[in-house]
Amino acid sequence: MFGARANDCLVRLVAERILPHEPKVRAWLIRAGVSAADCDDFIQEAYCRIYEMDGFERIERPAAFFFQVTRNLFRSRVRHEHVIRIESARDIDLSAFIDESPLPERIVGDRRDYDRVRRLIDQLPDRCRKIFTMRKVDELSQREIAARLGVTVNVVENEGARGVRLVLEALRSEGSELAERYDRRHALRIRPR
Amino acid sequence: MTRQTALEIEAEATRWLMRLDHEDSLATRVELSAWLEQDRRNRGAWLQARAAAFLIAHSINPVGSANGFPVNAVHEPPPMTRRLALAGACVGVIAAVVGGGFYLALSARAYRTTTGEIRRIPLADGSLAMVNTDSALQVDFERNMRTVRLDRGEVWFRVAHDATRPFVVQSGLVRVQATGTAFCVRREGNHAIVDVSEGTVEIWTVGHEDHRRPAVAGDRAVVANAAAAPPIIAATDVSRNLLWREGKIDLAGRTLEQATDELNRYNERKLIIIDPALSRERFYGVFNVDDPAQFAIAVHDSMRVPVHVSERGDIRIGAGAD
Repeated sequence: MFGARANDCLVRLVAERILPHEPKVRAWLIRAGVSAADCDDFIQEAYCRIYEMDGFERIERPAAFFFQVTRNLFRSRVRHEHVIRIESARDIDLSAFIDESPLPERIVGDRRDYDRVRRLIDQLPDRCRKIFTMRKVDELSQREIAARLGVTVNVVENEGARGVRLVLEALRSEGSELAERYDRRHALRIRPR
Repeated sequence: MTRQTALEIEAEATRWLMRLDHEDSLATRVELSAWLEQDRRNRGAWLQARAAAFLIAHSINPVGSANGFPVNAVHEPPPMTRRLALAGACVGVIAAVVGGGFYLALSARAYRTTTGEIRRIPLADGSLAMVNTDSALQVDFERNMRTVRLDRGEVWFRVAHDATRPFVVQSGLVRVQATGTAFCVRREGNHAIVDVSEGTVEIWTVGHEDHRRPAVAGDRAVVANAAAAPPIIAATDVSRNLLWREGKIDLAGRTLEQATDELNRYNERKLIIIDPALSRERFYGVFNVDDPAQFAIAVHDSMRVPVHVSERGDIRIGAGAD
């Protein structure tokens, strides 16, 4: 299912070892002062690097590697633009610990990341989940699913695509929330002084 | 033409996903690969979308059934099986050699490895030596003493238990003694590094026997060759340090400089960092020790720095490499 044959191994690796940790990498970017749109660009570019890389399957800590690729993309962008804008004292504070959070070691193997993805998938709209279940568990074709639901194949296709987009979208907002939560915690720690 | 946003590309990628799922024909594939060719960002979005679809497909929870999320996703692959295999091989060696009973007659033997060579040597007493790249050692087994002199390089030992004949490795003035233990000794210019993978060893330097220290499984000891300082002992990830036995290296946050030094031990074809600013960048990932080109390409991909790989000769990393 979903484009069998080419790169199945890579897809599985990315699904199991990188995607669940993507929000943390996004949070890091956001905290580094990257806008939402640029954030998406960096992440997409990082996936592209993984896609094009030779022998990625042999890398043992894929999430840490993914984080490293993203961070280097960000750094070389900063380097090429020659200017680092520091607009407020808060930004200076930020840049001081950009490198510490999150550490690649902390990204890998965090069970909560997996639980979170599972929850995201459990929360997909009913019709969406129904379609995925029929396709995957009952192994019905899209045409058969359409017939059972009394809709056109087009609707099934759109609904499936929407499900995938919803998961990606959820990972995205999870990243912003992580960054905010981190900011809040940091703010609380500073205030008493 | 306005540049497509990442979100627009993402939406397209998910549509391709469903289209291919619905109609996996040659025509669809040709069209799809044209789309993938068009923009590298399309390829990134495609991989990401396929991964998301994989997760949904594998963790979708049909009513009344257990959740099918892949279990092995949560764990790093255990290195246990290979260890067991090694232990099994060792038992075989002991049975064959000790059973023969001819170990008493053997005198000193020298072994060496060339650059890039990793050699497994069953010793006469049933112990096993795994000799890393560019190393030289002399094995001398006597009636009441087993001595290995490490002249150069690095060796991992699995010592056959024999309380009546201590097993001592000499690295310069450093001494490491074991009875039935597995450990690794690496000889450096002015010190030795000892990684203990099983049991206990005792470590000291000649002339400073009062500083004799035990190190246990999971420890790494760094011992100065001549200085009066006692060994420095700290916990380490021994199985990671010993990946070389499988021809691999886990960089785990080492700097580019350390990584290239390490890989250069194994290869005639040297990695050279041209741009000193890169030396302190940190690296993660497991690489094959005998494939510096693979490493250079990973550096290139992750850091966007020029890398010049010639058919023969050195591999240059950094601006001005090409």
